[in-house]
Amino acid sequence: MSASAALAHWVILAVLLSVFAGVLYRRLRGAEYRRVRAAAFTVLALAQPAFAVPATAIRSILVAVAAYAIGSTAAQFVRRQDPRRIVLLGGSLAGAQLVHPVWGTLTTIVLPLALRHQVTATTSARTAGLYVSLLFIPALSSAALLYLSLAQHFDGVQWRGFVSPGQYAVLVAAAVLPATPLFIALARAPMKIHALSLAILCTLIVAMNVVGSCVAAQPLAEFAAALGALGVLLIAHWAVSATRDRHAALLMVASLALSWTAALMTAELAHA
Amino acid sequence: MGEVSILREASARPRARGAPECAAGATDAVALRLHSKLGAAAKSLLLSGSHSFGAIETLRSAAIDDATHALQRHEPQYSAARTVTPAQRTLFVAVGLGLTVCVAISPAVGGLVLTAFIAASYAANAVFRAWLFWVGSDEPSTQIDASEENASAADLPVYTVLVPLYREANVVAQLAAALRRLDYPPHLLDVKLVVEEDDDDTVAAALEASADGVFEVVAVPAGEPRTKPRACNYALQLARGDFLVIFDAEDRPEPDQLKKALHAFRRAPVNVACLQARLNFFNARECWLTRMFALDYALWFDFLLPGLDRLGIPMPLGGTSNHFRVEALRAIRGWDPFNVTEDADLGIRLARLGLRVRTLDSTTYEEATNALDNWLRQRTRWLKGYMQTWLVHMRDPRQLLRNAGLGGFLGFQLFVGGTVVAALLNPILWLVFVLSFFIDVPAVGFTGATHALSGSGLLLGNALFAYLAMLGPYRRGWLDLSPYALLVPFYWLLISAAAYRAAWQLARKPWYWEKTVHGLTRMADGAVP
Repeated sequence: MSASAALAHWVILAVLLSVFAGVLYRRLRGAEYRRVRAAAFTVLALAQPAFAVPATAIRSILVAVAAYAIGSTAAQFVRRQDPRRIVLLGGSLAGAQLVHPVWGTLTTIVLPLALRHQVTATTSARTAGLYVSLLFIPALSSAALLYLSLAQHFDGVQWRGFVSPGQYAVLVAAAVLPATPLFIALARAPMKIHALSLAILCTLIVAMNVVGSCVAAQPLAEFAAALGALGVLLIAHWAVSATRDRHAALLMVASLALSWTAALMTAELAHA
Repeated sequence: MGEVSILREASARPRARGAPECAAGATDAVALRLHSKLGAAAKSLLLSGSHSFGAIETLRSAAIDDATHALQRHEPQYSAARTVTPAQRTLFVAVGLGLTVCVAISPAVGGLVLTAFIAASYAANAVFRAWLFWVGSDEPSTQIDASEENASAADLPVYTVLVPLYREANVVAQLAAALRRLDYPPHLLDVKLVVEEDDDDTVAAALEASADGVFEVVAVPAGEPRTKPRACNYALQLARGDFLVIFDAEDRPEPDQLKKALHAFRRAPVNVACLQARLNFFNARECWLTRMFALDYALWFDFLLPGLDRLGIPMPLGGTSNHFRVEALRAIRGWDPFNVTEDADLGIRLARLGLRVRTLDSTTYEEATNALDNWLRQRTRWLKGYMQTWLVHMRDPRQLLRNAGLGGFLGFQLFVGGTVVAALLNPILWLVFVLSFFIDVPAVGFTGATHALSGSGLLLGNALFAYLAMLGPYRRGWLDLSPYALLVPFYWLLISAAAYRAAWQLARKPWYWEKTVHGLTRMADGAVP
């Protein structure tokens, strides 16, 4: 990479991180976290190992942004199905496909299906209408990507090789590790809509991390970075209480620490 | 009692065909004197169906002349009596010639530039609608609560309801039932069934429906152009109300619509001269065509017009359920009788005169036409009217810009002009796309680039149009209609057919009012979803 290209890369990265940090901070402030704490949680969410690696940083941020957007719009959509929320969720799912076609497509298929009981359409014909309008943009996005990959040889996923069975076990463990605090928090939360959406997104992210790192030799931290953003979304939904800030800090610190641990323990494998 | 009042009474009973003509020598003054001296006796004499006084005929002639020509006479710049001005004709010819010369000199470049322009115009219209949709989807509810409604019920004004009817005898009974359901004190309702005097069947049906005196029948003297706005202008002179609403023959307004409108008027600034209620269909699910029509209406009235409202862009009114302050309506000389979408024109004219049109959160259910030929006639008239409206208001673009401001000016181009242009361009884009797929001959202007450009324009435009149509039914919970929006590209081809028919008709018969036949639905009356 030339000096100018590297500079451009870092400028883009800094801009993306700053904007995303602003979004997370605003979300936390909206949930009545004090300024310092909101800033601290934002830093914890974004101090991810994937963002420190030039090769994966930009795509990781985009994955994190897409995951955050889907989680946020899915929660709004299930609360009320109005046109704006449908457009936002559909657009988020389409955006996820552009960031990572396989993960985006999986999310597009799994998330609306998993949320089907939360949708309030009264008849099957109306439910069908709801799904058609929800999936219209993601379906168009899939068709466009398919066209680009067939006609223009655009490839969103780089398949680079396979790892050995021994390494496989380590990678699976490492992929699940950063998500553990989030899953514990989600399991303890009342199973409200946003928790369900986040649980699905976390599962998909872990699955992608496992598949990506085992099959495509993709750096493990790449997808794990999205968990920090989802953590912010989760704690922003918590009701205000005396222990909320403490629990939030615990969750964010644990998630970040495990993310770094997983990244370090698999660094050698990822470079192999 | 003034001239108009006498005219009002006289018009309440149409002269029977073949009745004796005017009494010789009678004058306006005589009629007025008669009435002032004899009071009720004169009234009875004047209303006699077997006599006709010259004075009354004079008054009726003056009234119908005023209804037909007042706008043309006093504000010709707003009248569609003349379709295209010489300056506009010169401009169109110059643009047409210029494009032809460009394409002839360099087919490859000319074709590419032209295709890019067409694709961009088409896509711009779709993007503008998407923006309006987004803005309109955030419209706050204007539902009034019962306490406010009751508080204002004590001082309700007289409300005039105009229902122009022409060859619609078959729906008068249902109309009467719908009007009787209006939640408004009957003694404060001034309901006028406006009929053409030579439309015998409708006159008879209207008289029968008004036998109990609840409705008044206004017979409009025969003449040209035989249009709804001409009839409305005539009846406007007889209106007794402070507020007025137009309904169509097949309309089923929500019963509380007048009270809602009144409440909205009272809360609004005085420059709000008109409120447009929402429209949709009680037979939306009757067939494919009615479903597509319902999607179209849902998007238009539930999202796009509220979007225009919020942005302060001139709003073309939608045919029926327009509520007016009568004073303002009279001040701007009513509707343009030569414009076949007089409602759309009126909305723009109000905006140009500094008055506002707002949307009203109340629905009037209509009958969607279920026959393709009937639909085509109706859509042809609408698109022809939009063409007339655009031509009228673009006679002096600088003046329009001054009146409406930059946002209003651009909004008018995209919403009124864009509706017509998108319908006209749609088949051209399809044609260029298909032909350039098979023919890659720069000599005739078809290259890979034109194929890509037309394809992109079509994809973006049609995808957006379909998506917006899909989201249109959300406000009323008609989600079962959403999947039909996938067929919007086919529906748009029908709209394009109507647009070309409209352009042809504009050139040949600009004021011709193609009648939409109502009463064809097989769905039960009042089957409002």
